Amino acid sequence: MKTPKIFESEYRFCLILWEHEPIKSSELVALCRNQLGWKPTTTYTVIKRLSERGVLKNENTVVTALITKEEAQAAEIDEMVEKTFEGSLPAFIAAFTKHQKISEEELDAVQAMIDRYRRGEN
Amino acid sequence: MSDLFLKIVNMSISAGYIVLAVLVLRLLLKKAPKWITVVLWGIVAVRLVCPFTLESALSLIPSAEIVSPDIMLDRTPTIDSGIPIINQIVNPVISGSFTPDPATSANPLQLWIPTFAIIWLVGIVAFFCYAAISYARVKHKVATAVLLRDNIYQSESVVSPFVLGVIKPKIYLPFNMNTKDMEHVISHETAHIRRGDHLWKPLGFFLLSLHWFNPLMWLGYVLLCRDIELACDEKVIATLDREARADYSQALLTCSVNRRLISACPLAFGEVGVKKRVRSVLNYKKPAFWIVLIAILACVALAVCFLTNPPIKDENNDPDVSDAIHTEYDGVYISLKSIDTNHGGYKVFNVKLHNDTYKNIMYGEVYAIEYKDGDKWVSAAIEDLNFLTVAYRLDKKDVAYRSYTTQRFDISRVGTYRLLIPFSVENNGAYTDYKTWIEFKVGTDYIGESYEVSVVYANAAYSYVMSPDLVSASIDDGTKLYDRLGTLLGEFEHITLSETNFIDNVGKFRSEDREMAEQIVQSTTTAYSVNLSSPENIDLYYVLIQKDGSRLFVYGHYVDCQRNDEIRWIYKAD
Repeated sequence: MKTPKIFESEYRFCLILWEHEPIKSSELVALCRNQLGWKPTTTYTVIKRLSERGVLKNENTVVTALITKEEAQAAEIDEMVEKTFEGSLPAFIAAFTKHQKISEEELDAVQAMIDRYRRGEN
Repeated sequence: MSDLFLKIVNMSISAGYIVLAVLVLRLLLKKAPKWITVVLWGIVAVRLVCPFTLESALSLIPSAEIVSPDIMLDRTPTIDSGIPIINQIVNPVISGSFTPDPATSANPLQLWIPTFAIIWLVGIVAFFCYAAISYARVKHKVATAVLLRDNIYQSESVVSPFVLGVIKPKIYLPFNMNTKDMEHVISHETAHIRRGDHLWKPLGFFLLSLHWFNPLMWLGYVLLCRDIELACDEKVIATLDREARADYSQALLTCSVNRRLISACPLAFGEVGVKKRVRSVLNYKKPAFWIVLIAILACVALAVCFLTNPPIKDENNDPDVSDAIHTEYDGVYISLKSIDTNHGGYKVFNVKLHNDTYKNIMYGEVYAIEYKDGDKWVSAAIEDLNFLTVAYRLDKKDVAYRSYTTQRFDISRVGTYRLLIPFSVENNGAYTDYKTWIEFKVGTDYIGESYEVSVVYANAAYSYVMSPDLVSASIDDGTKLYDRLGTLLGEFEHITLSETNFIDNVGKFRSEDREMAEQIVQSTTTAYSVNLSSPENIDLYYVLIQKDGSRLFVYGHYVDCQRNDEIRWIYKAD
């Protein structure tokens, strides 16, 4: 079976789960609040999301992992690319604030600037 | 709502002047520390939020109220930009397009301005919705962010680091950052929080949302965001050594390469051109003390010149118009709106004719200016007046704007006048005539606050040099004389009235005047003259205490401190 997708923050959550499983969801909420800074609702949302994805199961408020740490590590952890902001601005505001994606030449020029500075040429 | 809108428009325009000034200062203060430029934007913000402003002669704002709230009701709507050439160009256009149609008597602006006000309001609501929605979205995205330490969180939803939250701001970082970069990014974001940028930026956005119709505010907001970033960089690197500055620049560059989204969400920190930032970090030198000093002085100058409004022009030569309402028919009356004096010698009274009743009234072109002679009103007309025999209707609960010139009247005599307008009211099919008027005084005023003066003697030959400073001079504690502005004119000293210092100076031309002067001498118990403080001042002031307790106030000019001195006015203060 293909290992389900796990995002980085979910992986951090799973680390807590693997350490303590089987664990009551209310205890998991307390642990996540301390170690991850999560609100209870966030923890419950993540539990639900991961159980839908088959990463864990939540039976009678007891949470157990369905995949092992090794399986998860073997799978690539996805870096989610956030696209939500794009296009959320009216074009005319974007025209003000948008900076052209840095070009190769500009990147090189700025890098050269820093390198020269490091060498004390400035 | 329209009033509030016009108030905002006026505030916006005057704040626009400061934005322009800040743009200039930003260029001049390139070498100054960057926090100074942020302070400059703060001054703009004060102007934008603070509805009350002090008056200052140093103010560089051309006009405090460009668009008057009365513009909707004016017969000829105009603006006062405070810049004559602009008024000349703009006003004919405005008056031409918005002059009321005589048929409907409605000024089109009466319709337009409330419409604009509504559009303005809709814009504000849109801004708030946009801010609220994007805040909620970002908040949702970072809900699963994982605590790194303190108030620093990491999330795979974050591509570029930012600060979020107003009361308890949190720093959000992406996961895959190397430790070196991360420390620099954290010190940058921490510096933002220490500087309070997480408060200033939303405040800027809030002000922009109120003034969204003003392009200069957009420019200001965008530049504010950039200046905040540069100021923040500066704060971080001030304590870093050369090597660390290079690393910091590297972190800036790395972050901008990773950058895949435009985080222009108002509450998060956006990126400014990385090249510019790196360059200013690498070129950073601790600003010399004198540069900082000059920059601070520039801020103070900006605040003094642009946070204050120009003093309202005090037209001292205006007749003193009383606020009292005079009418023969309750609810129908006139009030003064303004007096135009730029009409070559004569004045134009701009008045409002009110009809607060539930009846329609009729009025025409006819008006009169009358002089109060004892308890009679006498026409002040200098020629026969012919008026057009037209009649206008003023509907119930309506106002009309009228202008009346003093051109064919003589109002040069000292005394009380009235501007009178006849009107008629329909009663059971028959019209009854009534009058309403406003009273104004020429050449008389108040001494101090408690003395009303009347003219005992005025040398007609000199009436044109009537000085407003004289009539408003106040007798402070009985020993010193101040003028209206509070300048000390001199101290009183005892004198004895005589032929040479009084009677001859009054009764120079007419025997009646001489007799009157002699009578005054008889009835005077104590006489004071003012020993003038300034040697250049040749004004003559006497105060004569009368047997009946009243005071006479004598004004003239010294010529030789003898018979040739001129006494021009005598006022009685009861």
